[in-house]
Amino acid sequence: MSFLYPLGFLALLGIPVLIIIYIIKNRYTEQVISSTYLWTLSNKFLKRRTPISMIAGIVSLILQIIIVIAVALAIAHPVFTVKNSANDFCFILDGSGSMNITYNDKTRLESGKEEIRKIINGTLKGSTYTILYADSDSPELVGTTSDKEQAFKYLDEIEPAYGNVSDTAALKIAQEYFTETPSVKIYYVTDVDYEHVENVEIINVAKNEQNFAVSDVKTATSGKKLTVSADVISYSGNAELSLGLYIDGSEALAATATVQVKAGEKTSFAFQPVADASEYKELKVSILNDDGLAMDSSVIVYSVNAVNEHRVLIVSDPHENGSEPAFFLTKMFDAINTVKLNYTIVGSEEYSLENYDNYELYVYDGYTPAELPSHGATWFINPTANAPATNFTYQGKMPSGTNARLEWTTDTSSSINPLFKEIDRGNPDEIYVETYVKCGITRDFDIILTHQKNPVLFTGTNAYGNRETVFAFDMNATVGVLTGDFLTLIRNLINYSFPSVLDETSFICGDILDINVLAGCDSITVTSPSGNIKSLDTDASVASYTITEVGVYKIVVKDVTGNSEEYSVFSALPEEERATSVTAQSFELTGEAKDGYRDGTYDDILYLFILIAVIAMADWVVYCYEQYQLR
Amino acid sequence: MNGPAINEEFLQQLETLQTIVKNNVAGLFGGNHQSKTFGSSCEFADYRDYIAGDDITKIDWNAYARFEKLYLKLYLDERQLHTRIYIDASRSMGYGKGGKDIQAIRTAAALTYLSINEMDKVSVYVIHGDKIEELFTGLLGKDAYFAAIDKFNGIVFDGDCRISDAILPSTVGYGDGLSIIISDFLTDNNFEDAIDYLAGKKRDILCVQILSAEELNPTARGKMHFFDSEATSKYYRKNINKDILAAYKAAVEYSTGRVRDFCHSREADYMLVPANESLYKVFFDKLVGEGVLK
Repeated sequence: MSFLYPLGFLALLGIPVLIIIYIIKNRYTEQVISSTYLWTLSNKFLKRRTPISMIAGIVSLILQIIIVIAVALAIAHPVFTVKNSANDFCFILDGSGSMNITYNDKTRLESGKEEIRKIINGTLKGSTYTILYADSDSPELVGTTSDKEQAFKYLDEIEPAYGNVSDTAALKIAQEYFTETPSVKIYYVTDVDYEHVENVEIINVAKNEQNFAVSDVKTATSGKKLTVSADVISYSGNAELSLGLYIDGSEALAATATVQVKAGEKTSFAFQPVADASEYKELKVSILNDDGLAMDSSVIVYSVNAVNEHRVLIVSDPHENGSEPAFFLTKMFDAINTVKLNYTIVGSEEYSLENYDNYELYVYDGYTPAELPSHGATWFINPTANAPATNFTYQGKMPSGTNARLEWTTDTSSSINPLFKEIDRGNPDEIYVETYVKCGITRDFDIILTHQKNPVLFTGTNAYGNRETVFAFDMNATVGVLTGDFLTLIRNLINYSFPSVLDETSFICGDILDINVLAGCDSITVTSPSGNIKSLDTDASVASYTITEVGVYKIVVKDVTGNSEEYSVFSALPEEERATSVTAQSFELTGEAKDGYRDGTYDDILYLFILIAVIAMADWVVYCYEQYQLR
Repeated sequence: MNGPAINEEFLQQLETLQTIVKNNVAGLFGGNHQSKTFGSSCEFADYRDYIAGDDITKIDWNAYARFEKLYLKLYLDERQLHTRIYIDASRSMGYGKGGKDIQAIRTAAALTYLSINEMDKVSVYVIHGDKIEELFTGLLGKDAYFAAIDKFNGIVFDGDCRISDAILPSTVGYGDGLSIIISDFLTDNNFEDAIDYLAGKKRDILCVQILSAEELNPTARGKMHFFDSEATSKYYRKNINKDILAAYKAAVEYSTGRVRDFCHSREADYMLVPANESLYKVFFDKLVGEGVLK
């Protein structure tokens, strides 16, 4: 043992000073009293004093002397030499993106720094510390020092990186260090477990993390009740998970569920049905337990129906055969559940464009308006005359009893293909009509059904640029409406007429988000969960965006009139990235490790300050006891 | 000092009190206290046969008429007492502000007046070391009392006090009254022999132990070095804490108990008088309560 400042022992001079002060301060007060008889007599009645009580009067002095000795020792700063306790240490800190995963309000990187600090704190003076940060494929040397405080500063300088770093680079630089100095103790601080390790110590900061994920959220409605089911998985171990269901952004739990999950096994569960929630706009399923990777602990589902809700005006009169106006059409509308159509039926006598404006689809059934609306899609069913701006001409009705078998088009162009979605084009259902209207086409239309090369069902755009569909036959006079393919065709035509901005609202990180560019669309902006905003090109019919983040993306579509609509989609973490604990093959350094231990020194004097504090407290207790005794 | 000092009003109150005499009174002179012997008071006691030479004026002629025999009427005798008061005049009685000396003098003066009022003789002695000094002797009558009372102020409290050594050689009388010892009894010196001696002389005995308030309930705390006022060679040096105070209280109890128990064992009266206690309380509560006065 040696001392850094031996002159500090001069503080021991305080001991005689203390004794003198004690003697002066503790002099007995002399007093002449009438008689000492009673006082002397009291000795007979005094309890026998224990050996400890005999030194009770100087306990305080003894404690104060010990304090002075401890203070002198602290000033002198003793340094202990401990044999073979120092070494060279090399810490390689993984800087990959996964090290930014937060668990217990701390990133893995911060946990790694703490682990390194602990190791450094546990070493004695005389050791050297080399800190490397593997934040790219060529790890950088943060610093080499023999000073612990400097090493801590190096650690503080390390900033989080979001790189996609393989451990090859870390292995390479560790090997270089090991080859150069075989006695160096190498620590690799990472979030990966290795099956084979040689000449290096792996510190896995993700080892104790809990990690769960929720996926495959499904919904089902029964009346007004909503049933939500999903899958959960635990990547860390068996666990009891609490799950919560939130509806329409409410912070109150709509339903909860408790699920026992086994490590690595997907477990399905369902919440109790929620009443009056069938028409939800969004719902969120969350794992309520603490999770090392919170990104996959919640899934938000936005209702496609809520996005695709449209207002439809049907101009139709009761049929001559006595059936209700647009009977078959409305039944088909009701049967389609991919969109929600709020339709209004008016008679031709009642209809006028001034009174029935602002619909997204105008259906003219057996009626031809004098003027077309300048906005919204139009459907003509069994047209009766020419109408302006329709881009087709009425050429008369074919004779009754034609009983025509309609031919499906064989065109496979990209514009017509979406209309045949989910229709077996090789063997479509046959459609017969009693009669039809012969139409002339003045612009490019996509013809779906023909009879003797006469277009019977075709789609295109009118003079205002709005989408137009013509059914040149009476739906009450055909058996086609009863076939499945025709119903599918109607659904596709609705989708064609209402080109929805979004076809899906749930994505996996890495998916392409396709946004349909509607007529009159002026701009589309996408805001990522982290706040990055990107404007998309609206020249093409579909604007694409690659989803790279986990969370809710906001899409704002603005039309030329200045109106804007906001849509939301949720992007989940890819399944392969949900596991926070990764096991790799090996991290082995070739070569033979050598013993590089040397003598270290220990010069921490914190224990002396603790000793001083404890004794000072004891002295205070003794003082209080004496004062109590004198009361 | 609390309570009334000696003043005319208090003395008038004292005149309502009377000493209770336990032993047979054997005073030389007639007085105010009934004796068990026959004498010439008005109190009839008994008859006896007439013997030639008896005072014929005391023959009961009514009895002679009935029995035709001469009987002599006997009356109880009333004698004068001689109250002897011994005041401990050691330095321990007078040192400091305890007021034991003042209380001793006031008590002695009051007791003196009480005896004078009963037409008794009073002698007051001051004990210095092993010597008795007469302050005054054979005091009789109120005029003499008021003329002599100033002598109390002349008492010098100094030196030590050895009660037995002082009283035993002195004349204490025989069966002729009350002996009162006023002292703090804070000494290892023998006082028991004096009480035995006085008891042997058929005297009523009253021991008045006077202790100051500080002696009864000391206020000293911490490291103290006490010197004895009578002899500086005697000292007491300690850190006075709760344990020592408890032991001191036990010592006070033991010391007062020792005097009290010894007095009672000799049928002597004992009374502890705090120096700061009023005389009224001492006389009208304590002495009456103890059966010394009535």
